[in-house]
Amino acid sequence: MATSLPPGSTDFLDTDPLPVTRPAAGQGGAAADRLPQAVVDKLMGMAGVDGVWIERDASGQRVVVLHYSPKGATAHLPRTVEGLPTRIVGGEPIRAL
Amino acid sequence: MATRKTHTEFQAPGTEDGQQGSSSEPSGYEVPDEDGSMEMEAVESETEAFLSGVDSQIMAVKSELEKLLGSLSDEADGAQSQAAMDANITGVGIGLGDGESVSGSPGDPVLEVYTLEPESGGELRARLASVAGVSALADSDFPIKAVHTGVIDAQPHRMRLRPAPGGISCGHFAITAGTLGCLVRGRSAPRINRLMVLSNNHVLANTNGGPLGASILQPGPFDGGNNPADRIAILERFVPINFAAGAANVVDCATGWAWPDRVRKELMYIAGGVIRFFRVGSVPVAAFPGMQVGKTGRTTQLTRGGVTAVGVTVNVNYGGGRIARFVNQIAVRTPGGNFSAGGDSGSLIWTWDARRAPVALLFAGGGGTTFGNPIASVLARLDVRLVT
Repeated sequence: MATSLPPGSTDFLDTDPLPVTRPAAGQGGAAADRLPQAVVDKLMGMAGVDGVWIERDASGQRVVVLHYSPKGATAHLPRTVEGLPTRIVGGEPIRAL
Repeated sequence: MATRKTHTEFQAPGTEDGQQGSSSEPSGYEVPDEDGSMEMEAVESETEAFLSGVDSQIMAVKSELEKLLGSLSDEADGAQSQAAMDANITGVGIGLGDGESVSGSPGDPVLEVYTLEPESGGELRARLASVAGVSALADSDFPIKAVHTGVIDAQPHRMRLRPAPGGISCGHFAITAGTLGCLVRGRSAPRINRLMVLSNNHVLANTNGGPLGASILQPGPFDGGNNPADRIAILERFVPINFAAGAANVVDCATGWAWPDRVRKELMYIAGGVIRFFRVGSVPVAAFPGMQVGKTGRTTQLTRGGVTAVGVTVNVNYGGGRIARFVNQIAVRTPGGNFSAGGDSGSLIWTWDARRAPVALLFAGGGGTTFGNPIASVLARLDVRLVT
């Protein structure tokens, strides 16, 4: 549990919020960051998989993230999806907080 | 800058025909906590009756130690002073003995002393006798019980606060606790005159449980909120969560129609042990991977993270075997920590910059990732706009 402030200054909280300008092109959740629905449905149909999305790795390359609830082996999960490498995260169910 | 409007423009709950609030609700603004005050008085009376039966010597020592605590808190100024460390006490109260570790019969009143470091009752008694100069403590039969608490941290995000800000504990009377996200108002009559709290369905509506008009408490019941004494709003609207197989949800959200004088539009956080308030922007923005965001919530308080994904599909466990699929969500992570934990549901997620533009409504998490509903979808489905 966090009991201290996050790293970095929080001084920006002390002023009135600045107005919003329109986001730069490419910042609005690009289609490239979404998988086809049929692919999502297939992945979500795999036992233990309870989340699917696309992230960028440290080098900016897209990876398909599979949230896998069980703590056990993940060898049966696909290594690639739609030509993109997969990354397995999770180890516990996604719960309403 | 837009003109700031006062709460007097808003209508209090239960002021129009057809509202499904409490039938006992008076018209116009409610007299604050009328029924709750009576309950409070009854509880205080019971406490006084109990304390009146406690041995006067125990009460006298308690009073001396309270003076010591008062002087320690004056010295400490946020950090533990040497005097406080020497005294090794953080609090004092009257408890009941077990007849074994403390002299006397089981159920007899004893002096409970809360300590920074573990210590036996005998050691504590002897040391306090010299540190506090209380002669009664020299008696080895004095009924004292040491209770190790360590440093007692304030939990301001879980306390009762009026007017209640965003980021604080709240919840439907039948749940544990979640977070009050922020304030909203309807887009059209009659809801345009309602000042409302925004949070999750599973926080304000007990996961589809309702009913409309149900009490929303601040703090939430798990944090000591009592109904109706701590009511700040009544359930006004919620978007049902569809648990059917194949159903695709987008939002877990609800509104509570608030008494305008019981809520405030600012959000809270703690800095240096002091409650501070800030405002968020009124224009939502869409999340994108890499966006830095923050939230302030009941459990993990003020945290910062990064949006790692949009267009997220997740199955969310609501307990009791209920699992709902959500699509088009956003994912947030905090490197080396948690952006959220249980009880943070309902927190508003906003851009971690000078705009503090609303981005999402936090509702779920697991495996180190937090998930939020895009705020634009939340506002559209509830037909509300932000009051910031």
